[in-house]
Amino acid sequence: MKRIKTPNQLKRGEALAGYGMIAPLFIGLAVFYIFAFGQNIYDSLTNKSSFGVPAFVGLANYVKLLNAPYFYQALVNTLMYVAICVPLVVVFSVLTAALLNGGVRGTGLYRTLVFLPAVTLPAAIALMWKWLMNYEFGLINAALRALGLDAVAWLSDPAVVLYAVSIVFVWGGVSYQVIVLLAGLQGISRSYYEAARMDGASPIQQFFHITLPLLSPSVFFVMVTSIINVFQIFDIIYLIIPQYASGTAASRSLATYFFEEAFVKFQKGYGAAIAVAMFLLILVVTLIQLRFQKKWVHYDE
Amino acid sequence: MKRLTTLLLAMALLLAFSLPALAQTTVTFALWDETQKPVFDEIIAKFQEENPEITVEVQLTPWSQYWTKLDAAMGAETAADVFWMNTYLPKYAAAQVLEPLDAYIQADGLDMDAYVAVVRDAYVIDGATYALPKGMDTVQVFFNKAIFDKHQVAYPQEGWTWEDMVALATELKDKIAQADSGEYPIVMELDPQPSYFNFIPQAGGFIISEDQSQAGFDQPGTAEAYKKVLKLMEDGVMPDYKVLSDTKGTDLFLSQKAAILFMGSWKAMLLDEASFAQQIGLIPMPAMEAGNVSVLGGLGFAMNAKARDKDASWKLIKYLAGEESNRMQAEGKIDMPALISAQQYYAPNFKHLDASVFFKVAETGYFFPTSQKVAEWLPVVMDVSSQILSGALSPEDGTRMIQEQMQPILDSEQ
Repeated sequence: MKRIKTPNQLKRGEALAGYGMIAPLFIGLAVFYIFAFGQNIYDSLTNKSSFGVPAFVGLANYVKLLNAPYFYQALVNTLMYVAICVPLVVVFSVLTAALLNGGVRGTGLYRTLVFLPAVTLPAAIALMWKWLMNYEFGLINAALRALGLDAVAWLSDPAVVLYAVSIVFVWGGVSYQVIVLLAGLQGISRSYYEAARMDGASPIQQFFHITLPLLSPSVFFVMVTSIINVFQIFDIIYLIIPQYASGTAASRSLATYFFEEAFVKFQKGYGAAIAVAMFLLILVVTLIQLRFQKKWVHYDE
Repeated sequence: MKRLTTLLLAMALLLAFSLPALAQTTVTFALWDETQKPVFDEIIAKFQEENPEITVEVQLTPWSQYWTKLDAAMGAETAADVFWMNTYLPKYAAAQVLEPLDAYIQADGLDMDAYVAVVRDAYVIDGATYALPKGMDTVQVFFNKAIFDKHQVAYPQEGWTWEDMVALATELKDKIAQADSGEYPIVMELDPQPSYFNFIPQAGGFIISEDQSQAGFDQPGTAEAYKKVLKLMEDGVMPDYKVLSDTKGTDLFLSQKAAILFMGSWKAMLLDEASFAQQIGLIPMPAMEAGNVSVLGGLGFAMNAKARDKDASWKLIKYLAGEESNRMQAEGKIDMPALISAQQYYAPNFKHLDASVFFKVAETGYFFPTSQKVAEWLPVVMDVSSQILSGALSPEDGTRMIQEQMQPILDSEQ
């Protein structure tokens, strides 16, 4: 007798094959993200440091965190980075993408140039800017002096360092987002523009009434990822601002604070608590964004 | 020629096959400085030649990850058998992860007086020796004679005081302004070791008491040291923090933009290779109220308390801290020997600089301040000090802030 597989058995076989295929990724996620995430929460409740068995200390690390002036300073700095960098990244990347999509001559060349920072090592970008912004020998200050202006201590003046870091972040952060937005722009049907032109809409009207609304899902994606990236800002600060110098405190982000506590002072339990605080902050901000997206994000049906 | 090579190869092969007959043992050795590794590879090759039964595996971990990795590896019991140690030693000694070396020293009759006393004693905690000295660093003043000549200002003379230096620098400043030549009279790097960790004891203060129980940032001398440095900036004889934190003082000096540089011996090789090196003078620091003491940095070789083969590990440490290894390090220009008999190999390497000044300075030096929880309080000291020196905090407020944070950390050490 010929055995016939019931639909149920078929499904189970298919499901198993499916699980098998996602297993490599899922195991990686489970070990390096989900397990590590749980471990981090546990560590934040201990006094884990360099050696010895960590002791359970309850919420002591969180109490210390809420009483640490450095935490609030790093929090304010981080929110400043978000407030400065995210709008700039979004505006510049939308504008650049729209211009590149306009079919100017040599579009291919421009696209390559715009994408260059995304494929450059962050360390290389940071080191280049570190020299451009050097007080004594930097190109930017040389230009300022040539114009008869005062040189700026980009990397050392506590009033300026936060903006210097933001400039580097925006410069390096725009290019990847441009690619995302360009893909989004390609998805907008030409027919909308043709119809708008027939009705006599100017290019600027077309941009605000067709491009922006239809691009909003991509813009939303760009915003969410930019916010997460800025909340975790670390490498640029670490590479361009001299450590334990005059610009250190004014540029310190939550991630930098985490690094200093966990990997310089080796207070890993406390560091874990900082990481949990960062997680909660990003979670709340992302939830708020998801809630508000209905108001301005239009999905083309 | 070719036949000779073949013969040598055959002999090497023969040797390789005959070796397993001896009891083989492997010792792992961790260090962090890439520029020193080639010299250590040579030293290790020589050690293995003399001790064919021991194979040494060198593990290079960059400074930025060295301590993190060492701590993690200690927990997992996979740490190297022998490793470089520095000012963090008390932390590891307290955690009982270092092997006390006294029994080995006694058994081999090693003469510990052969090392510079300050450096040797830095690795002794509660009567137990935890490392043999590698080398040391001193801080002194380098000056560019060409700039003094150009402006017709007399060179600094040994036995000078801080006031003498300010007077010379003021004279230089005026002449530089007249000539509009743009040099800075004095520069320094505002990290602890090349600057304020020298000035604090020189002004009569201290960083940590000798028994490591008291922080010294409530001492008037400690605040005074910061005031003296700030005064140099106010008087315009030293550029302010904007210049000094962006560009290393040594780089300003190397580009002939500075007349006087406070710097450690660890940069001496670089300065000796400058195009104007024959114009560089070397002199101990000027004296403040309490003298001109220099902070001494240094490294040692320590043994893991869980080393797999302790006798072989000790053999390696003894060799690394011995005459031959010190000679090779001195000639390789990577370190100034703490082994007194090997110091003769160091100075002749300099083409222009008078390296004898380093040894003179070392005689009166004091070892880099430390305690069990140095990794917790040193970042506080550095962080707040940078705010004092940039003018964001007054010396009084800043030193009080350091004291308030550092003393509880010291109190929590057992």
